[in-house]
Amino acid sequence: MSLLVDKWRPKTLDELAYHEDLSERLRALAQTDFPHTLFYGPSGAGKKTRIMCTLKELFGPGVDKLRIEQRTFLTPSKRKIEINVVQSNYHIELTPSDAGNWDRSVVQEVLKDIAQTQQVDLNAKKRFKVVIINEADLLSRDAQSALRRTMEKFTANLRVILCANSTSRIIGPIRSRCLLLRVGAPSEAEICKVLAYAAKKERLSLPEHVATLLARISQGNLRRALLSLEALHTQDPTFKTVSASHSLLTGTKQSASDLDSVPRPDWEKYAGRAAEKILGEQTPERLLEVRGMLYELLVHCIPAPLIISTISKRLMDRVDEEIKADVVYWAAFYEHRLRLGSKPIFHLEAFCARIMSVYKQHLLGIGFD
Amino acid sequence: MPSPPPKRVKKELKPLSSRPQFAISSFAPKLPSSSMPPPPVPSTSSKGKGKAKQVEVLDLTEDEVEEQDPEALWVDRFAPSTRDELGVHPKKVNDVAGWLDEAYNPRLSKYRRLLVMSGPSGAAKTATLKILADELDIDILEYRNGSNFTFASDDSRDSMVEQFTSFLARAGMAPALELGPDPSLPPPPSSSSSSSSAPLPPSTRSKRLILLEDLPNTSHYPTKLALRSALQQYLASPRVTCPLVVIVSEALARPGVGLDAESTSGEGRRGESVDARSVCGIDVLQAPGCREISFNPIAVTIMKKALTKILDRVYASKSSGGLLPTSARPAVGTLEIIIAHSNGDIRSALMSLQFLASNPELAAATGATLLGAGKETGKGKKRKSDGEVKGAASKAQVKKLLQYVTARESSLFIFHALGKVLYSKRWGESADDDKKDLDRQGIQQEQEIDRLPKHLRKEWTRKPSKVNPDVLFAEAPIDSDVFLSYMHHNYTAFTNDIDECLGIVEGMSTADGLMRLEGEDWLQRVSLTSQYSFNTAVRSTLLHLPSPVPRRKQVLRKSALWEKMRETRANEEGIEEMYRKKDGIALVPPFEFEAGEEDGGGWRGGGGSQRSRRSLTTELVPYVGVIRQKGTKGALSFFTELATFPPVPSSHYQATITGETLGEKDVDEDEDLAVVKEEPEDEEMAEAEAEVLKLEEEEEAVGELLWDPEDDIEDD
Repeated sequence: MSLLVDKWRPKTLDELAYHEDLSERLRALAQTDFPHTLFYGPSGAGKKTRIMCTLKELFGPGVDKLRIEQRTFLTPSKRKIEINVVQSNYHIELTPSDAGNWDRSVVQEVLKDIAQTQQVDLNAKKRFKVVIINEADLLSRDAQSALRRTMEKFTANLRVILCANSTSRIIGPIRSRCLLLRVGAPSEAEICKVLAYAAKKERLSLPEHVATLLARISQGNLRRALLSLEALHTQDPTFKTVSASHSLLTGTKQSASDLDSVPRPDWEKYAGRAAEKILGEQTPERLLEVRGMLYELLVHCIPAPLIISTISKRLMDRVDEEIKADVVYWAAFYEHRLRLGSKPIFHLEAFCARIMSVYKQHLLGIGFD
Repeated sequence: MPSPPPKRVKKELKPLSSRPQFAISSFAPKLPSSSMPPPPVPSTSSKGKGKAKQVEVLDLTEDEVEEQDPEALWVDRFAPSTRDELGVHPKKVNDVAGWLDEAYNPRLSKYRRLLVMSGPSGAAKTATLKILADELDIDILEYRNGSNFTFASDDSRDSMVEQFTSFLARAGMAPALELGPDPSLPPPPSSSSSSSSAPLPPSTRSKRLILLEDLPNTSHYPTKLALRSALQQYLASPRVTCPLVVIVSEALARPGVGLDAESTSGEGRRGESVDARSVCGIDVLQAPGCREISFNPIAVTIMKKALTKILDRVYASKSSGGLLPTSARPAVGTLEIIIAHSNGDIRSALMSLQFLASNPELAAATGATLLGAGKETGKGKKRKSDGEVKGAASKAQVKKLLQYVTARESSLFIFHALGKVLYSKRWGESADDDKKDLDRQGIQQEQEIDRLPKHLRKEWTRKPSKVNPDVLFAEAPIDSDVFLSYMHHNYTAFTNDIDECLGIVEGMSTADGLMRLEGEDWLQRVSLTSQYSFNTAVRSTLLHLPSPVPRRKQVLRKSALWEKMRETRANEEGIEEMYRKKDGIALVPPFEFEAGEEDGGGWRGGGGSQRSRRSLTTELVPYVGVIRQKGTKGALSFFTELATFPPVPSSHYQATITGETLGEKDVDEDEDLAVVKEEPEDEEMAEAEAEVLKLEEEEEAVGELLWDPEDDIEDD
C-alpha cells in the first residue's frame, strides 16, 4: 500500500496538472538534443515529478525500470562512504550532498563512470545518459566546480539534470551551462484541483472548503497538501471536523486553537506550542522549558532552520504589528548563525531568548502608554 | 683522581634542576630498585648550570658509589622494596596479594585470570605488584610496545595490536617452560627509555604472570576493539596457564577537538579519559575471570610519612650516610605544600621534592616562609642574599618557585571552572570575601582592571570581576567547545531575568558562530578559534550575570547536548536504514515491487525518484505517523514514534535543569563511562567553590584537600 501522494503521481508530461506552458516546453526540448538543465523551485512544487516525466518523454517506458543500489565511494583519505543511487538503463539519480564533505569525490566518480561508457542500448531514443543530481544547492563549492568541469568534458555522453530549491547557492559557471527551469509553487486553486483529482480517484467525497483549507495550510507545497489530505482522512473519514467557518478560511484573526485544529504534522504543532510558550511568559525558567522542546524537535530530526522558521511563522500570526519586523529580523539573524555554527541549540535558544526579551519590552511599553 | 664518570652515569646525567619537574616525571621508571643506604655526597648539588658542574660533583664521589648513582631520581632510589614501605593502604595490598595467591591455586585459577589494577598515576600500582610478585616468588613477564620500530621490512610488519595479541596467545598459553629469551616478545625497549627491566632475566621460578602496563593506543578505536577482543579471548581460552595483570593508569584526558557531529561522524575524535572501563570494556570487566582492583590516590597521611622517611635518609647526618646536609632539609611546611599539590601522586610528589632539594636555598626558604616569621630567622641564615631575610621578596621567590613546582596541578576540573564563571564573583559584593581574595592567586585583582571609556560607562559598568577569563582558558580542563555546552546547560539557574539569559546565550551563539571550521587548514585554526570563542562566551556570561549571582543551591549538571546529538544521529540512521530496506515502502517512493517484473531482485516498477532527507523527516515521516496508526509493527512503528511528540507540559510546570549531576572530578562528557559522584546537593557547590579557592591558598592548603584520607578504603 502506498501513499496517496505516490499512488497518483503523474508519470507523463500530459498528466501534469499545472504549469502547462512548462510542460509544453519540456516536451519540445525532449524532441531535440536535450540540454543540461537546472530545475529549481520550492519544495513540493513538483520538480522531481516533472523530471521523471521528462525522462519518460526522452526515453520511453524503460525509465520506469528502476533499481536501488548502494554505491561505495572511496574518498581521497581512503574513507568509504555509501550513497544510495537509483538508476535505470538510461539514467542515474543520486544525492551527493548526503556524503557531506566528500560530495566532490562522489560527483566526480559517478560522472566519470557514466561519461566514459556510451549508451549500450541500441534501441535507446537518445545517445546520452542522464544524471540527476538532487539537492544541488547543498553541494559544496568544490563539488560544484568539479561538476562544472565534467559537464564541459563529457557533453557527448551525458546530460546533467540538477534539482535545487534555489539557484542562489549554485555557482555562476554552472548556472550559465544549464537551462534554468523554474517550477513555481502551485497556486491554491491548482492544489485544490489536484486534491479533488486524487479524492476522486480514491472515491472520497472531499468538501470544497476542506480542500481549500488544506491548500492554504500547505503553503504551496503539493506534497504536504496530499499527505495532509490522507492524514485527515484517516483521522476523520468524512471530513466533518473541519468547519466551513474556520478562521483560516474566513480570514479573521486566528486563534491558537484554530491554528492547532488543522491537520499538521505533529512537530509543527509542537513548534507552535513552543512559540506559545515564548509568548506566555518571559523568564529564565520558561526559557529552560522551551529549550527542552527545542531539543525534542532536534532529536526528531527536524532541521534547525526549519524550526526557527516554523516558530517565527507562528509568532507572526500571534504578535502585534509593531514587533513583527523584529521577529523576522531576528529569525533571519539566527538562521544565519545556524549556518555559521555547529551547535544548533545555542542559536535556537538565543533566538527564543531574543524574542522573549523583545516581546517583554513591547508589553512593558504598552503598559506605560 | 678525576676519573671520568662511568658511561652509565653519564647517560643518567639529566641536569635535574634545569628541567621542569613534569618533564622528568614522564620518563620516570616505576621500578623498584634495591634500596641501599645512600652514599655520602658533597654538600651542595649543582644549581643546574649544565653538565660540567655535575661531572665535577661526581668526581668527588668515591668510586664505589657507582652502584648507587647519586644523580638517580629519588623515585628510583627510594622505591619501596617491602610491603610495609608501600604507601598503599594495607587492605588494598592484601587484596592484590590474595588474588595473586588464588591465581596459582589450581582450583581457583580459572576464575582468577585477569586482574585489572586501575588508579591514577603515582598510586603505586606497579610498585605493589612488583613487590608482591617478589614476595610470592612470581616471575613477571612484561609486555612492551616495541618502540624502536623499524620500518625497513614492510611485509613482516604486524600492527602493534597483532603483535600484542600473538604475544598474549603465546606467552599466556604456553606451558611454563624454561623461558629463554622469549621469541614472542616484541623488540626490547629502546635504550632511550630510561632503564630497562622489562623482561626479567630468565629464571627458574615456576609461577609467572603477564604484566601489561604499556597499553596499546586505545584512543584508536580499532586498536581498542582488538585489545578488548584479545583480552576476551584470553579470558575464555581453556589453555591459559598464567594470570594476566593489566595496569591502567587512569588519566583524565582532555577531550580532544570537539567538533560537530557531522565532521566527526562519531569516530572517537573526542578524546576519552582513560580508565579501566574505557580501556578494557565493560564486557571484559564483568567476566567471571576478571577482577578489578582500583587504587585511590595515596592518602595525605601515608604520603607524608613516606616522604618524611625519605627525607630522613637524604638529610641524615653525614656520618650515617646522609646525602645532603641536614640544614638544607626542606621544612615540614614545604613538604605539606608539595603533598597538597601532588593530588595523591606519590611519584610526582617525590619528583617535586627532589627538584626542590636540588636548590637548598629555596628549599629552606619555602619552609621558612611558610612556617611563619618566628622560625624564619633560624633558617634564614642559610640564605646568602644580603640579609634580606623576610619580606615581599622572599615571599615572591617562594611563590614563584611553587609555581614551577606545582604548575601541573593547578588545572581546574570542569566543575570548578564552571563554578568560577557562573558564580561570577566581583569585588565589592561581600567584604569578607574581598578580604580573603586580596592578592590571592587565580583571582583577578581590583587594580588590574581598566576603567571603561566614558560613553560606555553608564550601561556597562560592573563591579570589577574576580575572574580572569584568560587564566581560566589556560587552566580549563577541556576545550572550549565542551565547556560552552556545559555552560549552556547550566546557566539559566544563575539568572533572574530573561534579558540576562539573552545576553549569555547570545554570547554563546556568537561564540559558536566563530567556531566555524572548514576548509583545508581548519586544524591549524582550531586553537585560535577556540580561544576566541571561549573568551567571547565567558566574558559575555560574566558581563550579563546578575551581580551578585543569586544563590539558590544550584546544582551543576552534565550537558545534555551530546546525548541529544547522539539521539538525533540514531534517528537519522534509523531513517536511513528504513530507506534501504525493502519493506520500508511507506517511505521509499513508489518503488513497489511488482510481481512478474523480469528479474525480481532489485527491480522495482513505478515512476519513482529519491526523496530528499528534509522532506523525509519533516513531511513524510510525520504524516506517515498519522496515517498509519500505532500498533503497526516493524518499520512503521519506528516512524510513528518518530512522528509523535511528548505532550507539552502545562503552563504551571516549572522547568528545572535536568541531567546527571556533575561530579566535581568529572571531566569526561561521555555519560556511559563517567562515574558520577552523588553528593549532598546543597553543600556541593559551596564546597567546590571553597576548594577551587583553597587550591591556591597556601595557608590553608594543608589538611583539607580534594580527597579524604579515609577515602583510601572502599567499603566493599
